[in-house]
Amino acid sequence: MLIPTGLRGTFRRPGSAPVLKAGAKVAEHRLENGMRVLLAERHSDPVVAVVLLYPAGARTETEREAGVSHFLEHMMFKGTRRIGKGEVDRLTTELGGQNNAFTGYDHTAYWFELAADRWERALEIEADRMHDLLFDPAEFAAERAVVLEELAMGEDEPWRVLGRRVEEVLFPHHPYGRPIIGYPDTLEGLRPEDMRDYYRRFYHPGNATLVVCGDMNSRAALAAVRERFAGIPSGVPFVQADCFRRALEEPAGEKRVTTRWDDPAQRLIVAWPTTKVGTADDDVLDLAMTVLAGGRMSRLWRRLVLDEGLATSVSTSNDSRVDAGALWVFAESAQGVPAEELERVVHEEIARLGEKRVEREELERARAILLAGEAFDGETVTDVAEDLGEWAVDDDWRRAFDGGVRHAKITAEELRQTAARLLRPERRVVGWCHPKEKGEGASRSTPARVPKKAARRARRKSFAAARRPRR
Amino acid sequence: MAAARELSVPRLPVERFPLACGALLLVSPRPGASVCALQAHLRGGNSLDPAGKEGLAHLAGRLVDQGTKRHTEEELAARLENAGGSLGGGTTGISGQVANERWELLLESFVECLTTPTYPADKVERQKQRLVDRLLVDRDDPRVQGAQLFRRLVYGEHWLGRAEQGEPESVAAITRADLRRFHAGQWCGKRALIAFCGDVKPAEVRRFLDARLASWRAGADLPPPDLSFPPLAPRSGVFPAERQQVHVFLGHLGIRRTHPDYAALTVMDHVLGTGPGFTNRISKRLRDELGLAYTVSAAIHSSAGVLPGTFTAYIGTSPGHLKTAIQGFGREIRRIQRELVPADELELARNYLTGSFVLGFERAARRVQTLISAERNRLPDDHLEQLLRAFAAVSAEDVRRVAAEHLHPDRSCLAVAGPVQKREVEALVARSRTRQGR
Repeated sequence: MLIPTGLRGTFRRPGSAPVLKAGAKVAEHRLENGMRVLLAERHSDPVVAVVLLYPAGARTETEREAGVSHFLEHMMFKGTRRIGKGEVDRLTTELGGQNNAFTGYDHTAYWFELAADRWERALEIEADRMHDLLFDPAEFAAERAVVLEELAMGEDEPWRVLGRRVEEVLFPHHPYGRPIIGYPDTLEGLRPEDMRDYYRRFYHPGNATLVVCGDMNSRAALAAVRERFAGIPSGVPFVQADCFRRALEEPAGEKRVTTRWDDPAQRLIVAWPTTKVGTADDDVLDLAMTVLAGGRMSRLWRRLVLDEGLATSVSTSNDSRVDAGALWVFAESAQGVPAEELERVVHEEIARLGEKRVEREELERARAILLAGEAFDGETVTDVAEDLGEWAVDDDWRRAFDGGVRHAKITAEELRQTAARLLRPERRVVGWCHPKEKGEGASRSTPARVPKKAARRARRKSFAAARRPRR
Repeated sequence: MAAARELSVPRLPVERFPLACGALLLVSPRPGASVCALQAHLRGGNSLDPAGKEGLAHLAGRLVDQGTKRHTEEELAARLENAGGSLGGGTTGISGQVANERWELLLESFVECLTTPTYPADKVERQKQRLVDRLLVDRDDPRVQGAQLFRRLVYGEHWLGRAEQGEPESVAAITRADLRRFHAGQWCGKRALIAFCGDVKPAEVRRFLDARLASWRAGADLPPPDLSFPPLAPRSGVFPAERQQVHVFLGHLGIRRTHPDYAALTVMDHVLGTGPGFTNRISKRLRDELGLAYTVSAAIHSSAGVLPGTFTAYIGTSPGHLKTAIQGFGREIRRIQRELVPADELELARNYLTGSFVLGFERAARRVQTLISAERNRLPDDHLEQLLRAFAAVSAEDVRRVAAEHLHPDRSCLAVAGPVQKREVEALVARSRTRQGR
């Protein structure tokens, strides 16, 4: 990648030439203050997406801070000295654009989608709130009430409650076992100064990855980015191997959790701790998940839903994260089907995956579904920008939209071996949500308190509730 | 802060082809697109459900891909899935998408599902059972029941007040013969709108579909719709359930998409309850300032269709905030009816609507939805340009006028679902009426 003469010395020379991803020409740059900039030029529509990511999420919180990343994400819309409260939304609206944000286990992301003739305004907003956020106590208290309402909303969702209980067991002693949104008492215990400390730790150019994708000129975009961000001093980059996270332990036998809900559904989750994002196992598990429940020809869908009528729905998720991952199976039993029958068949199909190689046609279908998914994910510039950014922060952006190539190299035997190794019965957590029995008290699940841990997922491939959108 | 800009309209070229079978085909070519999408809309939908068999249209649509005269469900699924594509039916038709180079495969599968589904007995029973199971679970979900209760309060006995997917009992009563009869009688050429978007030559799509749909029955036009709705009046209902939050739906009968006030009401909605972030008054007041909720909104334009939609104000909040939330809705509705919207607030809403118009058209699926919607509502070819100009021309007086004319806080329906007592809601309604009278 050639760096414009006028900017030479301001940017470090990127390591590679532009790479084509989802029809966009992508190149990586780095400002001298350490900020990584990914420019993805694509001219199919007059739209530009700007996504800024920080490696702050549930994983980077201490137990006492649980929920601070997500709460901070809300506060990022509450004003700086220069851009007042509500101004981020007002400016975006005035420009006819959209913005939002989400918090995951491993990162927090802020995005704007604007018409191509005005996208640079997003840079001004992001640069400003990267270093000058206000933590007005009154605003802090009001937004905490909103977050607590959001938490209460989640407590009314039986899948979310069950998923949290399973995750708590899946990742004991690790932040992945805690909910991204936190707990009522950690949220109530947070003070503006605690959040400010956290903000200073994570929100600075040395930790930030900016993605600009769409109908723009890379050279001009780079200059625009430099103009807004180059003057912000870098903080201390977050060290991946932070001290407060304990190593994940190998499971020592099947674990089971049960919740109750006042409806007739029987909901089943089976989950295994798996692998870090971007590993060879991660790619294999993409295929495994698709063989199991991708499309109507998949094994679990065919057998549980279409052929034997044991379940009304079934889905899977390969939820790989920075420190570790999980493979999830979700199924809701058909009325009158004994819980043990549904569970037995799920276990049988998982075991079969580790015992016998999948047929060539089955493997080809899974690859085709994953490949088509990449095409669908690449339709909008915002999706492309998010994907590039999430991969960049969690692993390597070059892996975005490249799954097709990697999945094509995986053999049936590799898939079998990986399933046999990672999806063993003694490694799994089985969670059931059963109907409440007659006479059972009306009191519902109350939000868990520390140190009881709970949680959910994170990555793009995972189940939808994982990242917490601001709205 | 934003400078004046030219209005930017998304390019949505379309070619229209009346097919020999009576269907209308709309093709929007999109050079370079990696994905192609189609949607077929069959007029009628669940308005055609017979009494006692509610859910018939939905089930008939859901089953079209589960076996045809030429292929079994497995064969259909395998053929399309092997190419990474998908196709599915529902209450009002079929939609699907695939990587662009396989567009003919998508259309081939579509034609089969559209014209020759066989409703195999085992698939019918399985699908029925799944639907009944889902509806039984939904019966205990306050969010689902709150929304449904609201529709019943607003639409009364009109079919729009019924649950689209039916009730467990009505679905259980549907037979395979009902499904076959419904498809044979109601899915026909004259009632079909087919929209396709992708990197294709429109004439090729026309040739392809005209040849394959030549023998499809044209059938009869749909009879005129029933336009009798209950009068505007305060009605309330409660769905009690032990939960953390209550779901509140407040509102009344809305407008049709072709109403001349549609553009002004859209601008009003953005000031009142749908503007992004906290730029709308209701989000700003109830969420941002009072911290009552994570989810709150109010709108009349978004549900406007061939038949009148609803004006709906919604909030999910803690039970202790119920009274404040309802009062908050009422206060903001009355304010926009009485006071002129300040110039900066109006400009903000108009700027958003005109500036964001270009967004959201990147997906092929969104493009075909827009084509179908425009055709169903008989909007002119330049409707996007017209709407954009109309947004830009809306004045503060227009907003006040349409708010006064189309919002009726004193004659609203109120549905509340969650940990709340009926008498509590009735008391709130009575109090709100008394306050209105002052």
